[in-house]
Amino acid sequence: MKNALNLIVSFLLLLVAVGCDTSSSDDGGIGGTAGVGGTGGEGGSAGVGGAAGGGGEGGTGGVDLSRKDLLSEWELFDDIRNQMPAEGVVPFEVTSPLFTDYALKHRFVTLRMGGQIEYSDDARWQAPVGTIYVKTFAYPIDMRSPEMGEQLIETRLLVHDVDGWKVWVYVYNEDMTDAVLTLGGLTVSVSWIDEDGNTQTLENYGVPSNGACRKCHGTSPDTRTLGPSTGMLNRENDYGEGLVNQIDHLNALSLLSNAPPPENENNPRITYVEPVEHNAGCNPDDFDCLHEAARSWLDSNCSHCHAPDGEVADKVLFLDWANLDPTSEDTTSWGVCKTATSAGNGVTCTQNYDIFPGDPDRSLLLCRIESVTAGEMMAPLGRSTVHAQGAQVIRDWIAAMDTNDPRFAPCNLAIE
Amino acid sequence: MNFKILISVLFAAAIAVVGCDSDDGGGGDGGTGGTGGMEWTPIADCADVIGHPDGYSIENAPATPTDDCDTTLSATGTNDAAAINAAVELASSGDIICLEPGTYDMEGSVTVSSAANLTIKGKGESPDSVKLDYQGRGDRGFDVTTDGFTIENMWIVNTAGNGVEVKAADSVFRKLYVTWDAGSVPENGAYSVYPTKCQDTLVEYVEVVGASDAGVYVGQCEGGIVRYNKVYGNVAGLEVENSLDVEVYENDIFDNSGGLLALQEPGLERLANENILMRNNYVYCNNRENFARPNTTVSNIPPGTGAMSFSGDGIEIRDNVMDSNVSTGMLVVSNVILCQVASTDCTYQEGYNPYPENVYIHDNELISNGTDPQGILAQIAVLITAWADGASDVIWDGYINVDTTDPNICLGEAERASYTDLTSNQCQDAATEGEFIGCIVESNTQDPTGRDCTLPAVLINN
Repeated sequence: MKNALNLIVSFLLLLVAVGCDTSSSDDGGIGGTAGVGGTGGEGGSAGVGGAAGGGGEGGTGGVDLSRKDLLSEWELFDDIRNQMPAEGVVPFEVTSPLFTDYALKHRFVTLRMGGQIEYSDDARWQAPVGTIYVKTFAYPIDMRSPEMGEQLIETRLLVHDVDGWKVWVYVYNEDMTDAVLTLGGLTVSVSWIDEDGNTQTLENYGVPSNGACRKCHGTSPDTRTLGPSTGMLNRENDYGEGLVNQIDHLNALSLLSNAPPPENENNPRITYVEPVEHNAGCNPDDFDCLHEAARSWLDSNCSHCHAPDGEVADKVLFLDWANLDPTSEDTTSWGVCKTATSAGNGVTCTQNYDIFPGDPDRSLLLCRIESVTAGEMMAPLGRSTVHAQGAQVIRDWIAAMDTNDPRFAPCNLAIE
Repeated sequence: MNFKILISVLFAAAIAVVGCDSDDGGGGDGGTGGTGGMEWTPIADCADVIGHPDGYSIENAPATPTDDCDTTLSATGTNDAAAINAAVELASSGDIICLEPGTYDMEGSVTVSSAANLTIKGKGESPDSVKLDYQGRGDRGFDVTTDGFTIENMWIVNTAGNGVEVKAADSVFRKLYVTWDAGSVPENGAYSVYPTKCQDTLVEYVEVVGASDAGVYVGQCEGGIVRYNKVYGNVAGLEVENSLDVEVYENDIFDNSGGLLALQEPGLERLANENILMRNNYVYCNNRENFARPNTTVSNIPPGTGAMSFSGDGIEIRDNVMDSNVSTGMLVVSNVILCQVASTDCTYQEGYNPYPENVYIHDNELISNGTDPQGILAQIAVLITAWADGASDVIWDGYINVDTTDPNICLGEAERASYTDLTSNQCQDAATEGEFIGCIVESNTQDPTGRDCTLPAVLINN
């Protein structure tokens, strides 16, 4: 067993080394991915598969949910390159996506063992064993010519196996015909042509390790599926016959239990706000409007850790949708005049308080959102750039806090 | 021999070194022991002259077994973190992952979040044989959330954030160097060795230099042993915060801004720091300029502070040597005075007691402390006539909770340390810095009445 593991690790080392060498080339494409698929992939994958064991029998009724070396083995797509889903694999969109360096994302869900996802008005939807959530990360090739399509970087899977949720990450080969399992993560360079014809390059796009996936999604049995909720999915999407409400569509496909009636005035659903759209729509002094946008963005970008069930619950800064109830008296729990206990390292963000009402530049929370210094920036994973639209919403939101409202009274600066 | 004068000259030298940016590597490390090839900031002369205690360092650690590895990796010099992460992912509970000697290129964090009881250790003769160089990439060096994790016998250098962070039960940190090439600068990671939200941690034989918050930190933990570590060049050297049942003994702590700290902070899930025993440590020459990020709690530590008990309930500090800490041997302060000094919000959530209570400081060997108070203490020192020959060995802010009849700040019955109560509980309403300092000048006392008490020994259940 020891020798087998050594062998596997050697393969992985090879795989990783090859990936890096390629990523430093100047081909302007997705550096690093070609080598992964081409050279080290098969060897490394064979070793990985051998160590996997289990799965695919007993408890799954013949449905194979065990680890696969290649994305194609999951049979999720009729056409991987163009992300055309196979039958029974349903695409969906979320309104307030987690920011990942402006990557384009394609999301799908399939229930391999039937059953239904348990709908909830205000909690995360609970998906049955057999569920596979699929998220592909991509960048445009040339923004002036959308018909040139996208360069696919990676596809992440959350697989609900009989013994809990598993995370698997697949990195695409150069011609995007398939993607290869990676366990330890990868840093790749991504380039594309922007609207003005200039080449844009992101040097440090981070494909997460499996361990990093669990930083946000938690470790089984406490795995969290972060996107699927009413607030995130209550929006329109085009399934080929014009725009329809996504939740109603999933319900019509019998994918949801506790199925909600159609939304109407008497039965409103939580609906998140997309920061980009929001800025066009809110007056700078309209706190209520800004709060809904900030609440959406903080929930999707921060609450996987900053929530009562999150990894940093001990810091008592809760940025989840429920805690950001606009009528809450306990504004300290979302950062108002909350003194920072520890704020990482870095020398830029030196504010005393997470949120100083009315004064964005005195607010540590905003500074860390606007930082790209490792150890200081928030969120710490999954980005190397600032989400300008999201940061603007948070800035406007803090500025709009009425310091005459006791909940937003200025923080104590007794001795200055 | 005129020891006092010698020490004073050395202080001047030490402070001169501190005054520059101290990343020049000048001065040589004076052969401080078996770490050939390391490039971190040299030990200030003060500590070299006083000399280091025997037996409190990595050289005395037991050998690390190398014949029990389930997986062995070698450095490739490229993207080695991915290889380590993959090995961690493939490991089963109880596995031992070994690293051959070499320099590992760490392009990001190692995240351990699946298999329990994992050990990652170096196979070298000494920890510096296995060097994990992050070059500021990623966030934390190791980010661990599984129980039973052990990390041993390696050198972790230049992490962007914390060195080794473990949020889980039953962790062991053994024979580690955690350092930054830049020396002691605010851009360094906040914490070097960082068990937090944990149960039962053991930190031993680690040498940590340059943390911009605390070198060895145990926070929100229930059960811990911290021993035989060498801690220098950090803002806070060795810190136990909001924890229960932690014993800190036989550590070599010098050249930090503040050496040995027991802190009880508000705003955290676990609100009390209680039943903490700090004994038989060597705490000297903690006179480094405070290089913390502004507005952090530790940025308020006056340089030259040997030990500090900040709020907390049930803290025993005994049988330590405290030598040549220029501000004072020991500060006992409330969060109230921090609020006044740092201008932050002084309203606390329910369940948090900002006042220190049941603090028992006794039988420490106190040598030449308080000779040149720094920070906020410098402003006060010139106005307190009783400090004409130096600040007291123990300084208490004197603030008492209105609901408490006696806070039990006890210095023992015999051979008490020299002592100052700064405010006699008079200055909590001071609204400006000038008013505050004026109040202290009026209210301070060296009268030991009430401080000549004893308390039951802190017993640690480990």
